[in-house]
Amino acid sequence: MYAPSSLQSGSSVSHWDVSATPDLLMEPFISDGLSGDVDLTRWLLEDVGWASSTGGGGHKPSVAQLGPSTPNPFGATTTISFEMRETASAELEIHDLAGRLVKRLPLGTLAAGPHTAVWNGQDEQGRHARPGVYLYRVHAGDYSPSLRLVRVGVNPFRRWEVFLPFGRRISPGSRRDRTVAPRASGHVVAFTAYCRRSSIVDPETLPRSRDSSCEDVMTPSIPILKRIVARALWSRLAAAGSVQAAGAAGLSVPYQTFTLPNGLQVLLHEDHSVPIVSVNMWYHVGSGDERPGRTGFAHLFEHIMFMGSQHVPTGDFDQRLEAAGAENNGSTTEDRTNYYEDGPANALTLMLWLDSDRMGYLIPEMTTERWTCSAGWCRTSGGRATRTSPTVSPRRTSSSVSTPINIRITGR
Amino acid sequence: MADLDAASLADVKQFFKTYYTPNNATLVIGGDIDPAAARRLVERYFGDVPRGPEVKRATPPAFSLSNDVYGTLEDRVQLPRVYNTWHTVRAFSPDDASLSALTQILAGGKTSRLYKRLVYELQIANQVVAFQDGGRLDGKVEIFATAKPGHPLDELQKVIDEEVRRSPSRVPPIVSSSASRTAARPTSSAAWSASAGSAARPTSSTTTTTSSGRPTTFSRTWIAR
Repeated sequence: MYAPSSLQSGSSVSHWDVSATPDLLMEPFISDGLSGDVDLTRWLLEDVGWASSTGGGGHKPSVAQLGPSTPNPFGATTTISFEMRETASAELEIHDLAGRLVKRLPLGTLAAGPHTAVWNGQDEQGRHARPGVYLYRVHAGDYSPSLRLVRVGVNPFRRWEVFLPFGRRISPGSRRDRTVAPRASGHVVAFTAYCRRSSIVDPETLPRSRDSSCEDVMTPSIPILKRIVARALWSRLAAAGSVQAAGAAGLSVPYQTFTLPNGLQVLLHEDHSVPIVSVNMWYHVGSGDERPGRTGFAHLFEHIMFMGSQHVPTGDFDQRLEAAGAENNGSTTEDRTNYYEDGPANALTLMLWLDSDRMGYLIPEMTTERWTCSAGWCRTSGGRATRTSPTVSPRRTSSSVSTPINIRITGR
Repeated sequence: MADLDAASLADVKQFFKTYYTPNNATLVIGGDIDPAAARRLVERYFGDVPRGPEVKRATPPAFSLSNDVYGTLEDRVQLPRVYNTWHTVRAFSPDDASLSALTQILAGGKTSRLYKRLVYELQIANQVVAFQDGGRLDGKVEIFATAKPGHPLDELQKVIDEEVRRSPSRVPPIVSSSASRTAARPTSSAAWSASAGSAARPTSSTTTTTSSGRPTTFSRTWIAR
């Protein structure tokens, strides 16, 4: 059911499988409301290579071939290669998965032949775009092929801590600065600095001041530097030792919590070390809550919750998350049932929307037909047994949804 | 499956309306987030979900086994397996982590005692697993091993008993964390001997399940030292 595109040969970009649920194409993608709903129908068609030309009969597209972006995933900048079939005015557009325009880069009039365009990972306002999956396309004439790329890295800054002699730590300031603190003993100094993390440094955006890089800041003489480094190491080791001695007291996962008026308890934990977000919904129900004679409900619901809700047709839950580069699953024990989604940070909106729809809008979709299906079998009108729910491994290919299958569902 | 076949659509809906409510759920968001923005998204998407009825749970009476229980289940499986299960403590109780550390020593990874003997040295088992599973009301420690073809479960059980019996006084001190130290402190092996060692061996079968009682002895002797 895979519809490859000649335009995308050689790229490592994955594709939506739309053949299993063609209705998906007509659904506006979700939006967090910042710029309204966007109909991605044409994008989807192009992405799977179905809309090879939207220009009509006989018209040759201006863009002959859109190549991969390198590097991909990228941190600071990525270079997109493409080939123009004829001289035309072109521009590069970056969209996020909700269809919002992130950045538009006019490329001017380009001659026929190979070209490249560079995206520095920033949006129209000059802010660093959130890590995650983005769609890029080169727009020329009335044809705009698009491919996907992934941005990684979120923090342009990494905190560097410098220690005073005797282990006193100077807290870094809130801005990049250098503080020299003479001490009575004649030792110099400690300073604080924020250093740009080299992996995602964008030379174009680096201020040209001395304070802007570690090398520039590290100006004290070598012996002093050595002393500072040694002291810092010693302090770290000492700190590590005390953490060990304190045992579990050294483990800290800070979080903030609040409860919605409807009773939903929410815990938020901020960790920017990787550009990933994890959403985990715990329902405080498990097989321990089942009544004799009506057992199996808890695990059954773990499956029903993936089978579609009022605004998420059957199959969409997994498909949309996979398209965003996220994975999901759930599990059931005697005490609780949990559902999680892990993925790029910019898929958080999608995750929460999907999770909320099945919490608030599952009942309207709970029909006798679906109930019969979820108990293990589905029988279509043609008499062929067909699995209608995405209750196999979340890593399965989308096309398996439409594969006739004749087994009992024993586990997700 | 009989229960599910007998259930009506109304039964299923009622289960959902009772338990799948915002007031019976906890949402955890972790990672690369802006907490203020994440909160706005949560309020936007979950704020309109109506509150459900308050969930009431009866407290079942405490459970304990007065003697060891043996069960044998035969089925058309390729390899036989033996399970040893001890009634232990609930999740997040003081002994919960200690028992987890103990099961790691017994069967956590390829350098663990049971793996080394059963799988690597004797080569009579394909697999050995041990874990502490603490729940809301209670918990269990389970050790199970899958036999290699041609090796009866008696052979495996003998080694499991030996390792379980000898482990308490032979575990070297571990300094990485307080939890491990607690579990690794040398102690009497009375609990293991009583619950796992004195009972009659299960006979050969396709699949064997063994449940051992004396939960309080097990956890007390092992942990509360």
